[in-house]
Amino acid sequence: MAATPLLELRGIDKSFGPVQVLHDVGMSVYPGEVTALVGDNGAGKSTLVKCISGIYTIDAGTVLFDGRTVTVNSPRDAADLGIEVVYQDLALCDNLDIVQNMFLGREQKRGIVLDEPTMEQMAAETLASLSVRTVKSLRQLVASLSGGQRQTVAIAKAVLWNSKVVILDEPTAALGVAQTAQVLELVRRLADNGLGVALISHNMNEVFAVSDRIAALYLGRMAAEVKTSDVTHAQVVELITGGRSGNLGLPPEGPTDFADFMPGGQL
Amino acid sequence: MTAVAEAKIKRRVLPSPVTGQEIVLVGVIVVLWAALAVSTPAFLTAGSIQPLLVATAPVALVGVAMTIVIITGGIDVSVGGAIMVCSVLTAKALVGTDGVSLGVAVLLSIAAGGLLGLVNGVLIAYGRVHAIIITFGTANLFMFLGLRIFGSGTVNGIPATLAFFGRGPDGRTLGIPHAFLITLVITAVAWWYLRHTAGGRHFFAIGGDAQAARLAGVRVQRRVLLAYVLTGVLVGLASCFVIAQGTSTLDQSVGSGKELAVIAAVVIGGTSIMGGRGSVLGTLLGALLVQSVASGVTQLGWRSQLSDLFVGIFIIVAVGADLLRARARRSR
Repeated sequence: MAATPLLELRGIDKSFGPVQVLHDVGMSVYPGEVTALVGDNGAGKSTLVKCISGIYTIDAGTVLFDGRTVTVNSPRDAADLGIEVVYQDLALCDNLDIVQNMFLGREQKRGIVLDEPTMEQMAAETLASLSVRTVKSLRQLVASLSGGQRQTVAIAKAVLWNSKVVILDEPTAALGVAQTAQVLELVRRLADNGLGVALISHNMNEVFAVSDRIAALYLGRMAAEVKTSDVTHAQVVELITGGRSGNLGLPPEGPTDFADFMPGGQL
Repeated sequence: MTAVAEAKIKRRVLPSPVTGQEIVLVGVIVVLWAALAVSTPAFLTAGSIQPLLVATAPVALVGVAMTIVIITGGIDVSVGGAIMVCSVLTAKALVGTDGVSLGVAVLLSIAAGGLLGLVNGVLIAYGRVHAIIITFGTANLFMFLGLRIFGSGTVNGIPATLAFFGRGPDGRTLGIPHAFLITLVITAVAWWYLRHTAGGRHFFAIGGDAQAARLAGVRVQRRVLLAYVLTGVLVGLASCFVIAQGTSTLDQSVGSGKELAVIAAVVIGGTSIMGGRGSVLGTLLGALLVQSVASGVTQLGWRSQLSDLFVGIFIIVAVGADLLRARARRSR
């Protein structure tokens, strides 16, 4: 695969007041690949995503995009670079239709007037390029869509802008079996179209079905970044729950956050 | 691209420009006017319709801005108090030998209204407290301020400087009252803005899901602030209409209850009180309907409380229809 990661994080630190949520986190997203970001609740996955998307500013560390060092201070900065995030809670407005949602905040205009035909055409082309056939009309209100269709629209919105990196925060969390399969297929297709995809997920089957690499966070530290084909389910679960698995993961004698509080030191 | 997709692009890209509610309202107004024309022959004459339009103007004008505020998911119950402040301030400036001219009076009133709107807007957009609480607070504040400006009694001897907006012959061109004409133009501009510009669409997005709008890059706080400043500005202009419609005396009841009249017009016009949906055209029709009922009740010689009864029924029917529509949309 390509040697340069599209998006590379080095030594990211992030604290909220006295609580350090991310410690020296590094991660890479490669073009044409799906990188699964896994970790237990509170491991720092969502915080890491919000640091990448510019909602949070990082305390220390470097973000490289296409090999260049960049600073991302707002979601707009991220979008300008070509980084799009599809949030867990499906950030769509129920009262707007599909086209209006896809272009919200970045409407196409002729002068000051909205250019509806152009927006409709771009939306139709984007949905067609993702082989989405499930929506009846582009002018359907998002309120009338199913969970899977909403997720599809959210993803289509993210790829509309020739974005290079798409980050998906648990896109299948609220979906049924069939819809989950549809969305995963779509995620795979994004990578096959050459985008760098980062997928946050709790579901091991999903991770193994769709990802090329796995990055496991454990208590705010990157426990391991591995190729999916090099590891087993059990190893990934160990990385998530214990931070290490065999010779993979964090060093065992490293001072843990609990060491200070536990009589006898090590866990 | 497939033929189906192309066909979709060629057909009307936006939903119909007139909502069902608006068509129903036009129908109700036509029926009401016809009934009134039959029962009181004097109703369908210029002498009766002109004052009706003049009286509709301030409510409809503030209603335009109120519609936008309610579309964003907010509300402004301080417009009555704001009208009081603007009217008394402007009326006092008009009085006396060194009274200001028409243009200065309008600018003064609009500036005062804009300032009051700015207070509301800053508190609501940046204070993260619900609009009804903030504007309930500022409503009392504005009323206190208005009463202080009144001093002990009424403002007397207001000259006819604002007759351009009034009921008299100076207030009409080709038989159409200026106040109503101005309201019509502002409603049309607002209708166009809401439908065909990105800024207009953002008001709807905020009312639908403010968090989603923010993540999509909409400047939510700036938009919300703008909605309340606009309300203040139109309150300022509407206050000039109010002064012009009155006698040479302005008393302390000015503006009282106007917030409810305006919200009634907005709701009857089909704007969802939950935000995210609405139309300024509906609000104009709603205001016209409310005023027609009031005028009809008076001309029929009925007791004026009956007018409140009818308006109450209209509000309940309108809200009920909105709920039914929302339910139908969800189950589709």
